[in-house]
Amino acid sequence: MSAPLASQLELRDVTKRFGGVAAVDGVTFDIAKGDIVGIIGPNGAGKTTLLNCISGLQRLDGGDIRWQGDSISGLAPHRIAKLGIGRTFQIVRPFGSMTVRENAAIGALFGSAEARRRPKEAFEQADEVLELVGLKAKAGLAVSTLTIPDRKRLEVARAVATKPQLLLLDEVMAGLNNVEIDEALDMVRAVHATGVTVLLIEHVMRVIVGVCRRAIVLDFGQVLAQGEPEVVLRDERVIQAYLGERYAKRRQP
Amino acid sequence: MRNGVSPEPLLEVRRLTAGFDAGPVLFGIDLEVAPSELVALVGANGAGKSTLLGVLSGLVRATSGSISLAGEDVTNARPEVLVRKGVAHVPQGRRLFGTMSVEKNLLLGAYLRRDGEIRGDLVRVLDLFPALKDKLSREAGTLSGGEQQMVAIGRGLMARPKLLMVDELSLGLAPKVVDHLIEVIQQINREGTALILVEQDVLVALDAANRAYVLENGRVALSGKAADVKEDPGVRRAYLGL
Repeated sequence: MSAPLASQLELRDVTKRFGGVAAVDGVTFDIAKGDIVGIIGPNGAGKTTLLNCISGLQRLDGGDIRWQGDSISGLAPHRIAKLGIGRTFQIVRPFGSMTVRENAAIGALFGSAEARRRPKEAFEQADEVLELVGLKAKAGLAVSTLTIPDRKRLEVARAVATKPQLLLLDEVMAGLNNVEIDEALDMVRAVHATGVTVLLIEHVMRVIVGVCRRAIVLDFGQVLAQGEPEVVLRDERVIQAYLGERYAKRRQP
Repeated sequence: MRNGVSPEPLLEVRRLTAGFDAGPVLFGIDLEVAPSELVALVGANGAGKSTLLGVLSGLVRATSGSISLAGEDVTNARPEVLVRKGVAHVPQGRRLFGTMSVEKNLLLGAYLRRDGEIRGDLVRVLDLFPALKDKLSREAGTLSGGEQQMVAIGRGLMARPKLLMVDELSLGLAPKVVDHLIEVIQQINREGTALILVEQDVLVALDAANRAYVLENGRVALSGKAADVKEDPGVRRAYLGL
């Protein structure tokens, strides 16, 4: 077991409403430095909204988010990025006419705390990141020629190039088959091994069980359960709300 | 039915090749679907699955080979002609009109129809997907991912297809929702619509289907009863990760 981990990100009663609906409704949890945590839950449970709250794309209607002890509630997304929280998006939007390397360099140029670095340094940073995510051999290709798994890798590379201490991944494994998922898991492990804390959303339980030390289940904007993935996935409430009986049966030996 | 293939297939694809400016993607595909079959199409990203569906619905041109539907040659027929003849395509990522109502999205599936049974079919679609009943006036883009997939499948059904092709049913959906949609797909199939299911969750697809085709680099690497494909050592290693 690793040494006790210090809290890096703290969510306290985080609430976000759209109209009369609380998409995120009083969510409280801590993410320890160096942890890998998965967020799961039904479609519409508030998972992406919660990531949007952390990364500053949505303003909170209640509660507080603290990053390394200081409140970041209400800060603009670019400020939060520069404080060391990087993220990917569910729908990837790379600069399609630019190369893989140029796309990764943009993250280094504009996203990190040491922004306004010289292009040469940004490209060096891009090369390091592309090696880490397994895209080095494709650095010179136009993004438009990439397969879907490689586009997902590039999305991760762009976020990692901002040199985050916490990386938020929103369904970067959707649309991959099991073997492609296993390859992508190796990429996540490689990024995590550089000391980055990871908080990821996935519907693919192979991911949650494969890399996460902890899983948090959201349902109707609230935390339904949290704990070790194997325990959480056996929780009757989680099966009822999210996994379904068929899934539960399929997992039995 | 022998080996699950009836003597007169609904869809018959012979030595089909197709591609884009960047080069060919499909290299001589042979594939059959019987009128009552649920066929799974699996393979890695980039293997050509979506391109094949594109050719079958007239969105991508075949460069050689043939496609026949109920005995009639439909190679490179225009998309609207194929829809009239009974081919409906539920595209990857649903592709709904997000700012239009759920009802309008569904009715667009019947855009080419001039018969008087469109409203009746809408009722049938809502019976299949009761969750959509009280959301007909909502903007489609505001629905959850699972509900949007229901609208996309429903829109396909509104064309009254003989063959419904669903690309990546499970994409981004909760496990419980996937199971529900698979059950509905199987019900649609039992009620007489042939189905091609493209799916990254290979286990889900093989459990649901009668037969399966495995595409690798634009070629059919393996085909057969879904249960047999599931036991194939190569498939278990390369796709199921077992």
